[in-house]
Parts: sequence; structure tokens; C-alpha cells
Amino acid sequence: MELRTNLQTLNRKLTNEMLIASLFLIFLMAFAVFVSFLFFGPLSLRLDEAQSLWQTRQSFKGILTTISQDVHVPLYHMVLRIWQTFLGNDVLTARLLSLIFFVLNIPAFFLLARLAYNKSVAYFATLLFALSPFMNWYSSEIRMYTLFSLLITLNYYYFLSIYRKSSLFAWIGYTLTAVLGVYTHYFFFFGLTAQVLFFLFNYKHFPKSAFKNFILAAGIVVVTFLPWGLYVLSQADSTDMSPLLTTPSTVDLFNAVTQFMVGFQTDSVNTALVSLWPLSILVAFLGLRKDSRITRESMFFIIAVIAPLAIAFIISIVYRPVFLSRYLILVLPAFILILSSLIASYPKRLSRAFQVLLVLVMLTALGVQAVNPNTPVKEDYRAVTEYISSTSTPRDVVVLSAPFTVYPFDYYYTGLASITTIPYWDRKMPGPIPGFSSNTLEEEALRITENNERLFLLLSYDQGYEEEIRNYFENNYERLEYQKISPELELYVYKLQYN
Amino acid sequence: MKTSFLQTYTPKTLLVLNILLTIAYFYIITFAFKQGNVVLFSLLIIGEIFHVWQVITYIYTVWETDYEPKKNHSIHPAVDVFITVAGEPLEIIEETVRAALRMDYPHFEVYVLNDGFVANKDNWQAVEALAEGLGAHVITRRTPGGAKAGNINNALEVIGALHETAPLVAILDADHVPHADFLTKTVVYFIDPDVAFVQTPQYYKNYALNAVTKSSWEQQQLFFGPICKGKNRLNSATMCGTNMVLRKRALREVGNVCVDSIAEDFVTGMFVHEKGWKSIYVGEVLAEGLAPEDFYSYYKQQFRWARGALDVIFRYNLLFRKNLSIAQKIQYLSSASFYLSGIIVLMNALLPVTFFFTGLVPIEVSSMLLALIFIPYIFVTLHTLQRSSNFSFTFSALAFSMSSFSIHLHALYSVFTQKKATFSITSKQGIKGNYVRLVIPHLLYIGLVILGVIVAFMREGLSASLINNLAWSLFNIAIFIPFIRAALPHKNYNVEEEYDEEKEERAVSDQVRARLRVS
Repeated sequence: MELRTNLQTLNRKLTNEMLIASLFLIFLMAFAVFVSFLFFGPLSLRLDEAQSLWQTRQSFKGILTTISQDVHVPLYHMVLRIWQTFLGNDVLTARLLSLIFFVLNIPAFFLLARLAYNKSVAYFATLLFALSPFMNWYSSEIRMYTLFSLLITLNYYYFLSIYRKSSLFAWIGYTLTAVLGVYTHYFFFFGLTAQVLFFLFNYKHFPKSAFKNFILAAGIVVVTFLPWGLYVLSQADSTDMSPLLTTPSTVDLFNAVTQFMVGFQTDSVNTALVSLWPLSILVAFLGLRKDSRITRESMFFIIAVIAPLAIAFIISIVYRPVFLSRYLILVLPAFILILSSLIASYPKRLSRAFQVLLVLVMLTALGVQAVNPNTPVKEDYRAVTEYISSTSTPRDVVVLSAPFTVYPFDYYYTGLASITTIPYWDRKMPGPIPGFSSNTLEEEALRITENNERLFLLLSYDQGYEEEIRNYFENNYERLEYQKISPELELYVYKLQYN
Repeated sequence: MKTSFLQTYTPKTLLVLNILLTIAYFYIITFAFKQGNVVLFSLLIIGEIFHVWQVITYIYTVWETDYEPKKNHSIHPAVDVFITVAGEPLEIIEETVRAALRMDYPHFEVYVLNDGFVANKDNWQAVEALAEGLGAHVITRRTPGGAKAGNINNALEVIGALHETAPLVAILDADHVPHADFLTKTVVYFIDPDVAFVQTPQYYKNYALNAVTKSSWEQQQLFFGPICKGKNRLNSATMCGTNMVLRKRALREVGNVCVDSIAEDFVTGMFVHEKGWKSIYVGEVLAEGLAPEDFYSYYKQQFRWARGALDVIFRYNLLFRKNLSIAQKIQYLSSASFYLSGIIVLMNALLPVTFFFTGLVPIEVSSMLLALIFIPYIFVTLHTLQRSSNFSFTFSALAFSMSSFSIHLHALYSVFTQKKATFSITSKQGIKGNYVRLVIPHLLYIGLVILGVIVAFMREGLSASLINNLAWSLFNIAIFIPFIRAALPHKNYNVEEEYDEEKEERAVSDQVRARLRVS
């Protein structure tokens, strides 16, 4: 009788807990949808997104070819292609796919947090994750980043499930997410590297068969990835369509970490936030509590934060620049989990105070990122294109630099003036974007200006030669107009000849 | 009773990584960046040299903490158990004497060394009556001098003159209640004829009472955990004045307990080592004592330890003592030099303040680059502290250690001037337990930061340098806050007395001083 009563109580308790967790997650998912639809969804198409849309207008084979020449892997584009086939290919529909991945990522993150820590940490960490301005930004971007984050979260979930207790279900989940993950972003391998490092130091704590099974899983990942790897190698001659990235400095490293917390802020705010780094030591000092051990799960998340950042940074220094905060979105879930568990280890009142402070900071950052027109990542190609479309005539010419900004421009452009780029690039032709040469600038300019009345020069995504192009036109033609459309998107209008 | 601090183990890879990061950090700070102001740069480098010394000696100490010396459970030499008393409340003395008399050992006599008479304590006669009533011997000193050391030496002489003495003597402070197995677990090591003393941890059973007791104990754990266990391997156990057993012959060889130093136990231990004797540290709690329960007592305890340790550095010239091994010299110097850290803490705290007022910096470097080398170094060092102390080292301990810079500087001043500085703790407002005057340096620092930020803001606006230095200042202030809070009036504290350092020197034990509050 007593046992039955106890079971009923337990059952009721579990049901209540599940109900509360479900309501909490539904609220956060609804919040993410709300933020996306209200703030980020309606924003102008950005360069990368336009590239995604252009790439997915092609056949599946065409997508594979284009992506192999890019710096990415094809899973997201294939999914997007299918998505568009059924639901349409407008911007909002395409962005919806990323939002769905983010919305799914919230409960997945909660599961991971719940697996690694207690209920309180899980709730708080999931709240931070859902409020993250960084995640919310990419939830409305037609790119693979939220899918990447979702897969790494699930992969970490299965990895820690295996660490806790090996099961066939966990192994299948682990292998599947790993295979999908490496086809979503190359940096997924950094997450797997973190797991290898963790395993090396903790193999004794894994189930006995873990090593053998990991080898098997790794074999499956390698075998399934091999065709793509070979295909990319076969396309090696025609690669390098990627934007120029600069070698990162330590500032970029800390900027990335700051962006995980507060998203994209103006340079001055970013500088101020990054300069506060000594307080991170205080945050660690406050975590020095009696018997407050770093759990193995925390150790894993620490490695999952440090390893990808360090690997990307080192590769960027010694090989070629690849360090972009969005590529490192895989770090964000682990980073939030570590931070949340650290704060949870503080004395109760201090912990509450820090939690409230962090939530307020993230909410404020999210709000500022949403409404501030100077948010650095906002690229208002729509506004500038609409302006040019409405004011240009067939006797005008539009010049875009960098050349690949033709993607978002072309998406919105309805004007009559012809479009060209400096350096000149025909994106329908196979092969990389031609390089810029100072020696041919005048020749190119003359070709462009011939027979045209006005020139609309749209400069964005400086590839190192923007200033030279600007100076050339400033020195040789009369400027009629200048507009700064959005951060790092500038329009110059020059008079070429009189009627 | 929490004794996890004694379960020490640190992975060697972590220790090696910590050394590498420390050296790399020092090298980069010293050589890789453009120097700023020469004076500030020199001060920074001095501070960093000190940090390197602290990290390296700490790692050297805790490298191996499992040393197990020879022991034999079949030996039972006679032991005189000394309980040093100087006016503590009778109930405390009674508990200790009763526990001592109940110890599970065949041959021992318990002596209450009653210093109440020479220390002008009202209850000295009551102590005599209590001890006799319980069945212990009482030795009441009539001639003052030498504080606790003098009390012990007097007892050694009295007992020696009266009858054939036991070869060993156990020393317990009045508030350190021995476990029944205290003697059985310590005497066994005297099978080695070269062992001079066996020290056990100084456990504070009242650690949970308040912030002061908690922080005191958490600081102690690092010392009595990995540090003392590491020193054991290097034959450098520190003599701590209580909860220990000594070989009388070794004591006699060094002229009994040293009466010339305020840190009589520490110095006596060093003299014993110098004579070639061995020391043992038993990593097991065998007696339970009391931590200082109020801020003032804590302040005095730390002052006495700092003053004594610095005395050792400046008076006893540790590095050139001929008969100490290199390991012992390093151990004594690293223990004593801990109390120099106050200078470094203050120096580091003043760097951002100097920037606020003058714009001067020690090195010209991107703040982010500095972060990139500093953060791994400090995080790994913190983790080493945590792992080596079996996660017993806490923020409170760290905050109290760093905030004690004012105590350390006070002690340093006292050593250099050789003055018996007198300080009063009576609150000007007559509030009981208000020790705000003892944290004036910390409050002054906060004031300087506020003023400095205004000056710097007027000079250069909200620059990245200003924000970075402000962050460092906030870091320091956050470290000082628990210390300042402990000094504020508290309903549990009701100490109100004038304190004179000369009285301090006459007092007998740390724990007596820890119990100065009026009950």
C-alpha cells in the first residue's frame, strides 16, 4: 500500500516536473520565434544568405559542385533545396528553416544540460541559450549555423550518454549526428577532436566497449565523408571562391567569446566589453568553493570550448585564416553550460545575483542588436538596391566591389542599369573570382564608364582593394552623392559624362 | 569532521603544465613586450619573480605527498603531556584536560602548564583547582618571560628537577582537545632515533561558526593538507606549537623552545632540523581546536604569524644556515616568504590606481594579448591549488589571504622598526565588534579607485585602458569585500578591549588569543 502511494507520489512529481520543463521550453521556443519574426526575419538579405539562395537555385549536382568550390559542406544546402522545393524560395521561408533548427536546438540543449548537470543549471543554461543574441541572429540567417549548433548539441548529448552508460540507441545517435555534423560544417571535426581529447584523459571512466565502438563510429564517419573529401580534392583547381579572411589577432579571439555572450555590438561597445576580461578571473575565483569539484562533464565542456577555439586560431596563424565566430558556433553550447554550472556553484545569493545580471546583460544585448541600425553584421542590401533600382536609368552603370556582393544585390535588383564588378567576375563561369590588379584598374574603369552617364559604386566586404577603387573614382570623376547605407556598406554616385 | 583536505593527490601533468605556463608567462611579460614606465615595470617584474617563486616552490612541495615514514606500533615510551594554559575559560580547559587524561596510551602524565599567574589572568587559581580535581598535574609559573615558550621551558625544568623524566613530551594548547589515539598514532614514529618531533594538523572544529572561522580554517587546510604532507617527504615538517610530540633530547640540544622569537615553534623546528634531527607530519586529525572567532582575533593571529615569519627571514638568514639541507632551506624560506606576499598584493592593486592618476603603465601591450597569456596561467594555477588541496581551497581563503596584505605590511613595518607597536580596537562609536579601522587600507583603496576613475575619465574619456584598469580594480575590490564585511559590526561579536602588542607577546597560545571575546 505504502509502496503504491510512494510510486504514485513519484509519478505525480515526475509528471509535474515534465510539465514545468515542457512549459518552460515552449515559452523559450515561442520567444525565439517571436524575436525572429519581429526583429531579425524582416531584415535585408545579407551576402552569405544571398549566396545560399543562389547556390540552392541550382540542381542537386550543381549545388554539390558549387559548394565543393566554396569553404563549406553540402548538407544544409541540400536540405534547404528540398525545403524550398516544397515551400517556396523567398527569404522568409528560407530563414524559417534556420529558425526551426534553433527552436529544436532549445529542447536539445536542455536535454544536454539536464544530462550533464542538475535541474537548476539546466533551466538557467537553457534560458541563456535561448536568449543568446548570437544564436538568435543566426536563427534568422539562411546559413547552416543553427543546424550546426543543433547537431553538435545532439552529438554532445549522445557522447555524454555513452560516457554515462553505453546503449545502442546512444551509439546510433552519436554516429548519426557525427556523420550529419561533418556534412554540415568542417569545424564539426573540432568538436569530435574535443571528444577524442576528453576520451584520452578519461578512457578509464567510459564503458569497457567504448574504445572499440568509437573506432567503429569514427570509421563510419570517415567512410561516409570520404566521397565528399575526394570530390572536393577533384575540384581543387576551381576553388577559392571564399571571401578574404584576415589572420586573426588575440582581439578576434576574445571578440568571438564576447559575441557568444552579447552577440554583435558596435566596435565601441565590443571594445569596452572585451576590456573587462579581468572580471573573468574573478568569476573563476568565486567558483573556488569547498568540495566544488570540476565534474568530468564540465571538464569535457571546457575542452569543447578551448579545443575548437585553439585549433581554429592556430590553423589561422600557421596555415590560412579560418577564424570566424560563426564557424565556431559549436563552442557556444559548451561555453554557456560551463558558465552556468560555474555560477551555480556560488553561494545561493551570489549565484542568484549573477544569474539575474547575466540574463539582463543578454536581454539588453539582444535588444540592442535587434533595434540598433549600426549593428555591424546588418547589411542593408535591400535598401540600397531599391534606391538604385528607383533612381538609375539604362544609361547608368552599377559597380559592385567586392565582386561576390553581386549575390544579395542581384536578389533585390529591379533597375535598368547594367551591373558589373571590380575586379570583373562572371559568376556563371566556372573558376575562382579573378584577383584585383592596380595595373588594370584604369582599363577596367574605362571599360565600365564608356557610354554611361552615371556610375553607382557600391562598396562592401573590403577585400583589401576597396580604398584604391574609391580613390580612383574620387580622383577622376565628380561625385554626386554619398550614402552610408549600413555599417560597411557605402554607396558613391559619380557623374561620368554630361548629356 | 571534514578531513578531505588530507586526501591529497595532484596529477604530475597538471603540475608540469603549471610550471611551463608560469615560466612562459614570466618570460613573455619580462621580455616580449615593450616596457612602459621603468619604475612600474621594475615593480611588476619583482612581483612576477615572487609569483614564480611561490608557484615553483608550491609545486616542488606538493609534487609528492604520500611519503610514509617508518613506524612501530609496539613501542610505548613514557610521554609527558603538556597543556599550555593562560586564562582560557575553564570549560575549555576542562574539556582538553579530560580528553588528555582519557587518551588510550599506557605511559603518560598530564601536566597543565598554568601561565595565568604571569599573564595576570583572574582564573589562574581556578585553573589549578580544576586540574587537580581532574587528576592532572599543575605547574603554575611565577616568573614571567618567554610567553608560551617560557611556560614550556619552565615545565621541562621543573619536571626534570623533580623526577626522572619521560623521553617524549606532547604539547597541546588549552583548546585543542586530543583524540583518544593521539599518542598511539604519533609515538610510533619515534622508533626512528633521529626523529625529533611529530606534528599533526591544527584542526578547527568551530570552522562553521562564522565567516572568520570558516576562512581561517579554509586557509589552514591548504597548509595542513598538501603543503605539510609535501614537507614531510623533504624532512621539513613545520613545528606548529600544538598537537605535536617532541623528543626532549632534541629540544635540549637546541636549548629548549626558542624564547627569542614571536614564532617560537617555527624557529625551534628550524633549530632542531639544523642539528640533523628528523621531523614527521602525520596527515590525520588527532586533536580538535578552535579558530579565531572574531575579526580582531584573526587579525592578531595573522599578525603574529607574519611578524614571526618575517623575523625568521630577516633575523635568522635562512639561506646561509649551514646545517640545513637545500630542501629544508627552500621549505623554510617558502613558508616564511608567504608573508611577503602582502607587498606584492598591494603593488598589483596599486598598478591600476597609478594608471588612473598618471596614465602610466608598466608594459605597453594589447590588453587582449596579455589576457591570452595570463588567463591560462592563472586558471591552471587555480586548478592546481584546487586539485592539490583536494578541492578544499576556497574563495574565502583566497580573499582573506590576499586581503591580509595590510597585516603583512604592518608586520613588516614592525620587523624593520623593531618597535612594539600598540594598536587599539575600541570602536570610536562604541559599537561592539566594530573593527572597521583594521580595514581602513582596503576602504582607502576603494576611495582611491573611485577618485582615480574620475580623474582618468576626465583625462581620456571611457578608453579601453580605463575600462581594463577599472576591471582590475573591481577584481581587487571584490577580493577585499569578504574581509571588509568580516570587520564590520556583527551581532555575534562583542569584543571591546584595548589591545597591546606587548600583552600579545606575553600571551601563551594562538587559540587563547582566538578566544579573547568576552563570553
